[in-house]
Amino acid sequence: MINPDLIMKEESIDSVKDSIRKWYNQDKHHYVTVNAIDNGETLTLDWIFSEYETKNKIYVFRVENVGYNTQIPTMTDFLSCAWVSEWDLADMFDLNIENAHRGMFLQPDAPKAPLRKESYSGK
Amino acid sequence: MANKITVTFGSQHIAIPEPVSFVFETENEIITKVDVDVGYVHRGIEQAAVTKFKYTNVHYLLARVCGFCSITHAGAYVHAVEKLIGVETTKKIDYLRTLVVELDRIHSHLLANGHVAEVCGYENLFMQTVKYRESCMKLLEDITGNRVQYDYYTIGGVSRDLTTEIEKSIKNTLNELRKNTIKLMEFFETDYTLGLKTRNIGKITTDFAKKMNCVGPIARASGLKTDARAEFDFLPYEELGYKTQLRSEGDVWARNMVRFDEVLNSIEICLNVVDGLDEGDVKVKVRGKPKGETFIRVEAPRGECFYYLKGNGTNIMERVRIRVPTYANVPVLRELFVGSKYSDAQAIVLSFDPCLSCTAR
Amino acid sequence: MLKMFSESFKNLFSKPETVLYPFEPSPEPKNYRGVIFYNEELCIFCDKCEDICPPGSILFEVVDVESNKKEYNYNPYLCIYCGACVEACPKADEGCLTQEKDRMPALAGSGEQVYKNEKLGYFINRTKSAKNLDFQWREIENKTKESREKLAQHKALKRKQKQEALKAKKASSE
Ligand code: SF4
Ligand code: SF4
Repeated sequence: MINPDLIMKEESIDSVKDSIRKWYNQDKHHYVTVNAIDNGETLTLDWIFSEYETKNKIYVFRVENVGYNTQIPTMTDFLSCAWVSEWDLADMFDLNIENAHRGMFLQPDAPKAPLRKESYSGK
Repeated sequence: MANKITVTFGSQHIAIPEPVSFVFETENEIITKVDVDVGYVHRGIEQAAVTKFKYTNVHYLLARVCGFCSITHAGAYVHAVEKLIGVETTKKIDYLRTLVVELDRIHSHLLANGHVAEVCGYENLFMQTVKYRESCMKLLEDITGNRVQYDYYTIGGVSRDLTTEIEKSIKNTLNELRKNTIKLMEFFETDYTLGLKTRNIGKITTDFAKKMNCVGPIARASGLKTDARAEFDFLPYEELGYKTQLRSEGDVWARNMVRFDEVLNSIEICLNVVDGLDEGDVKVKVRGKPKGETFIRVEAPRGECFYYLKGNGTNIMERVRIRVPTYANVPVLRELFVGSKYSDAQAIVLSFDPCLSCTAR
Repeated sequence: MLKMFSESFKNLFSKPETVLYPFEPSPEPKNYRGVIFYNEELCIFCDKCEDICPPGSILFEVVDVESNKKEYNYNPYLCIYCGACVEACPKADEGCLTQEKDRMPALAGSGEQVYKNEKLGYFINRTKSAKNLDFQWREIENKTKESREKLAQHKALKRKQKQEALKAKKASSE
């Protein structure tokens, strides 16, 4: 990990929503995005935040070993701008995210889940 | 009883240069519901970056995510890879990079402002803005060798040095451009008709900006102090005279003015770069392969651009995640339409300076 | 407001800002990044330029596996003019690979000639017509791939022969 001021919190998929909700302070924290990393069979999910007027601070809520079919909670009830990134992930990895619409980034005739490893590694 | 009409705005529309579609439900003149689709130009760049390209030339691919912020995307990637490999760049390299990034910001901001004037009906103000902007484009072409795809960043340096001739022309051009920008600013500030179309239109309060996590000039026009140049170390902005520009009004007009303020500040920075440049090489040796993860934030003209990179010690990256500024501003844009007049929709969209090819990647 | 009027009035009588291309010349600036020129005599065939080229518009086809002779193929219509190859080339300073400020003329209608220049490599100079240039390039791509495989096979064979010869030598000496 090369970011010196990175604060990483390991969470489980059930607890992550509540911990973010409890921790998130609208005046202080800036929601950057939610990111998924494919490890082959499972995913790592990162909810990434930064802090206003502070140098180099990045907060990451990380959930490891998420299955492809796990129900992933949406953050839109308290982070009303999170829908774009959630819909994006739902399209790109074909994930099961609460309330996510499909088809904004991928047209109906596009390949499914283009960012899953299995779809490009040829396995 | 009010009449409900559905109006589509885009995906092809005369005011917007890129495909985005909004479906407005309107009651008389007022918009009551919005549907948005931003994914028309999805090209699968994130996948290409981890399959077809070696880490040594992914930045040439990423530069082509977007024409305006080509330098930002390449820059973010190069900063990240340099962090992963452990490359220390020299002061000269950092300065030259800053110069091109800021020149890019100047021309992007000027075009954005001109565009707003155009959709408000001021075609000739748009022409005038673009005329002034041209000098900046010429400079970039002289420095990097191309008008749009600068390809200036390379891993461990920049592609070429400045000559004394170019240094001189930078100084002259920028001093001229500063005068012209101030002139343009006056037009935007004092013109009555333009004011009718821009003042108090599409207003975002500071609280709302915080709630929707706006980035870039949109946030700063609403008094939300956020700028990756101040919040993340990627180039030596502090010593070059960078100042965060804030306005509090939060309307279309304030967004334009913040952009003008930033243009003036960027001109300042560029002139400082040219003055503070020392002798030396423009490249350092790079050895090793990227391994590990890193999170990078850089400031694109449209706001904060975020990169996540994961390398596994081979030639191919494991994951490249791009979060671009417009992507972060789409939610607030959608909320903003509700309650405003349909005739203002164009000015609101253009004041966001949307970049859809970035958003869809 | 008044200022704007006076500015507009001034603009009415000022010279146009645009260049009347193609009636007036619109030259490339001095350091423009244009086509890549190649000089075979200086090349050491290190393949560095082929390795780094993002779209793969430089390909070395092995024409003779025995002597490892390669031919430089360059497709200026695929090139993105990034200049990475020139930076990677160890012989660039001597002028083996240079980026000129010229642009390739647009591809004229099919059946017409492609602009040729000795320094553009074998591909462009051997093409007969501009028709289906991309298909012609795909052929080169396939040929290159095949030739590389052949070279690898040849090398493996050579190695085997060498080992066998060594073994035989050993056996005879024992
Ligand atoms: S300029 Fe770039 S694209 Fe063109 S041949 Fe060289 S490396 Fe390839
Ligand atoms: S990098 Fe230069 S020397 Fe090496 S093969 Fe290419 S042209 Fe020849």
